[in-house]
Amino acid sequence: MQGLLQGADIRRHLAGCSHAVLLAATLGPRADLAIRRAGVGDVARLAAADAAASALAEAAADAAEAALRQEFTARGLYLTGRYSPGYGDYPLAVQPLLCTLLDSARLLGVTVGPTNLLTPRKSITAVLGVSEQPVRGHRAGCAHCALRETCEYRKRGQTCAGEGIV
Amino acid sequence: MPARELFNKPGPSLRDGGVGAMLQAAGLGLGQKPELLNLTDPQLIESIQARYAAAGSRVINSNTFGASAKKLADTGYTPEQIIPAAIACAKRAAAPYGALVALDVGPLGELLEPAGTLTLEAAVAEFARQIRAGAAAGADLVFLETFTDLYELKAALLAVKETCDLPVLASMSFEPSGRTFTGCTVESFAATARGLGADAVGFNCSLGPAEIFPLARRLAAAVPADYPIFVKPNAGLPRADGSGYDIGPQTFALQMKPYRTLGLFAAGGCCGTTPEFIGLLNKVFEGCAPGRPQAQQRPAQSVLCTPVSCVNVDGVTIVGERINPTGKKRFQQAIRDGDMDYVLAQAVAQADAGAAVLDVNVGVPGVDEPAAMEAAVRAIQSVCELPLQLDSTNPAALERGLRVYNGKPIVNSVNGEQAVLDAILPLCKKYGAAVVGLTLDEHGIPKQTQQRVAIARRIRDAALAAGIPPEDIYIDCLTLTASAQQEDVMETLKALRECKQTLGVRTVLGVSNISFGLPCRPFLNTAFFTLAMGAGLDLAIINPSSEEMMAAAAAFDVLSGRDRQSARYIARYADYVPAAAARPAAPGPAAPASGGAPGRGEYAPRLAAVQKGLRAATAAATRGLLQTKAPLQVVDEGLIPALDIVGDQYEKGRLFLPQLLQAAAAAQSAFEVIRTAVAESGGEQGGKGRIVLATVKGDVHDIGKNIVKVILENYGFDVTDLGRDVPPEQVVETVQRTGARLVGLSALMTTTLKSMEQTIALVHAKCPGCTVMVGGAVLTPSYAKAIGAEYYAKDAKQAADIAKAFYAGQGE
Repeated sequence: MQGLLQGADIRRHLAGCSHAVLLAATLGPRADLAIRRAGVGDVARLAAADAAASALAEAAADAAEAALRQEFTARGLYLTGRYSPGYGDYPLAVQPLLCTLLDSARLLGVTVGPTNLLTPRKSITAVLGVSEQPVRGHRAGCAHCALRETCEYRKRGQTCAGEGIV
Repeated sequence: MPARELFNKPGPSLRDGGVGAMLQAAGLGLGQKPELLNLTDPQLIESIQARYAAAGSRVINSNTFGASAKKLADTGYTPEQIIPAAIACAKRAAAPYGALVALDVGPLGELLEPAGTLTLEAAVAEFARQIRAGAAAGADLVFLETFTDLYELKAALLAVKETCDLPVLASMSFEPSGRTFTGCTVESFAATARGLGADAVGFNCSLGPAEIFPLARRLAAAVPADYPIFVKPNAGLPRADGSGYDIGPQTFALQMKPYRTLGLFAAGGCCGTTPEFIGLLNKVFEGCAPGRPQAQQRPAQSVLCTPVSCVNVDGVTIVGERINPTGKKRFQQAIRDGDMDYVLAQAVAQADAGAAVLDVNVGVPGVDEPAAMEAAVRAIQSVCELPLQLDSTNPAALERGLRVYNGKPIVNSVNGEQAVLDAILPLCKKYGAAVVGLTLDEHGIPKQTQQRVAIARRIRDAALAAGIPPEDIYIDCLTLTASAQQEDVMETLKALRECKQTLGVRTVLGVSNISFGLPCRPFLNTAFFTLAMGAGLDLAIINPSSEEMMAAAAAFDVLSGRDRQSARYIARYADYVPAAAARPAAPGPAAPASGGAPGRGEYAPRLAAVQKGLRAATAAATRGLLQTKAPLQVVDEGLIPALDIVGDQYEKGRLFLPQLLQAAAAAQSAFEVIRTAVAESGGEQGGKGRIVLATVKGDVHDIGKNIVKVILENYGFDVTDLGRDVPPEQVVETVQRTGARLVGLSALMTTTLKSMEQTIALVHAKCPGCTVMVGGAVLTPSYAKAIGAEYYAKDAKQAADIAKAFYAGQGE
């Protein structure tokens, strides 16, 4: 599965892990329609609906992650946080492989477009490391991040992972 | 055996079962493409298929589920190489047993527009390549399977019908909720696939026989008694540990037993099933005949649908009439400008008001109606899930709309004129649409009931002859205005009653026409509507925002017993306060936003309303100002200063994005009032300069671009918005066509910055003197410069500043 480990940040995140779990979550295409509909004639509602849907998709992934954590903890194993393509230098180019391994088109209706974006839009894929030792992972990878220069978190001396700047 | 005999022969034909697990057992690795084995190890494929034929499968699927050009892209093979080899394998396996070979076609693995970026025509072309190759190689039939997106299934069915004459079976995969991942219902699937010419419909994959059974029962009820249906379930559900499926051949056979009552024409298995499973099905279906007893079948239902919304026209069904530019100057201007936002606002408002179907008419003199119809259908379906009535007399416009429509629409209209019937009925048949026939012909509208009924009969017979099912034929006996032709009002109702009773058709009326030229139109509309419902009206084309009309329909449903125990009426009106008793809406407070410089004099309420993001108050204030001032003056002296104050406070960090957006939305509502005023007065809106906006090819993150668009429009610029995933050539073509001198491009991802660079280069090469501004999360001023952009805008406010300075410098 070398194809999954592209870039420095995912390797750092998975340091000390023997296995990994792949995860996908989606709100489905009707969420996209609801966002477009909310935006008809009202750009404020468009932005709010889009942001709310993003938050909901993250919450769905959080719930899946929590369920996994419970399951692995019961087996005496440790999980890192989840790491998604687009974090740090982890490229979107891994999406096709992630989705193939997850069989996400058949099991969830999540597909990858020509530029490696997921459809439906409010979908998430992620990798979680599994270890026999306590691990936390490193989500923020500011060094290689595309948003390094414009990031609002960094301006405040924070990161998107809630850590200090690394 | 010729393939079509499959549908009529006694006893269900057995289909084959799963192949994936058997290939994995034979050593196929995770992520490897099974289609390549047709070339690299044909004996293995043939041997698996031969085992299915030996077990009793009368149809063998070719190993071509993922043999599309897209899915084969990284293998170095083409469909034209893989598919003939695959058909040859299946034929060798099937021949000794006299079994048929089906070209197996799965989804392309990419979502179509609007959810994804793949266009319908691109999907049709992809499927056509596979089907052409399969038909040429001698496949006996086509099996479209495991589809979850009805729109993609439509593309595949169109490809089959336009490429070959083979029978085609359409199969979708449903979730236990009774919907597919994209929200498609069983009934929408049945109506749409049958309409598009599928020879049989069924289910495969995702669930086991027990879970699919309730869905199969719904499917059987949604199609005529003699229409073939089939199932190919999985071997139960996947085991949680990933070790396969949870039921064996015996349980599978047991769970298939209830299907004996459904009159399947074929049955088989999908993931996890093996030749052993198929072998046991022989016994299960012993003595069964395909088809369901006519007597048990409900009368055919008249259905209109989108994937997620299936409307059964049984009693009065409301069709919203407002997407129609006739007599509305503002609407005509919107169609001429390609301003779909206006059309969408009408669609959403009518859906919210309770319409079940929306009429779509975009006929404006001098406008390319076919292009406008396609654009309108696509745009409306991207925000609204109601079925549409495509309203035009132009066959080219109807065809463009029918082709891109997702679901089963209704065409309005044909009439008794032979040339019209000949041009439009074949389109309705090909695209599976219901049709409205107007009781008029080349001699005009007959006065007498009997003559109108005679035309209706002619239309009905022509539609039946064209292959349109009786339940999809609707007759419009034509509402004439009471002010001009008072004596004809009752003739219309008589004709309606007669058509319904003697011809067995559904009926339609455009109700509001009755009151044209008379005062207090809702009174007359409501009375006539009530009479028409009593006469048997099915589709009522009305304004759903009229509470009187909606109330008349709700009341009629109570009185006619259709609304059992008045449940819907009570739900709608239990807490209803009549409009006269309701308190008038409070006017927007005139106090200025905190920290803002108060507007003075006559503009003060308007300024305050914009700053506070009050849409209704802003629109009302604008209407007031337009009594005494020219539209452009209102923009320059009222709107722009208000937006400047908001923008200034946003820059200083006193206001935040939500307030900026709310102010922009309020300004949008003011602009809508101004556009209407300009259109009604027949004038041209003097713009501040033309700007072309696009999110570059490959990128679909367009929310930032959409915000920029609204703010630029608020400042009076004429914006041509090309949307997302826009190829460089389209940007250049639009700049050349519109004469815009400023282009705004957005990209959110590092991977699409290259595409932005290419777009800038092409614009500069082909449109000398054109200036480009760019924005997007990953851009920086220096990077913008490096890829050749003249300007970088960090947000919408800055984009507006750049545009203002740019066009001021150009002497505008």
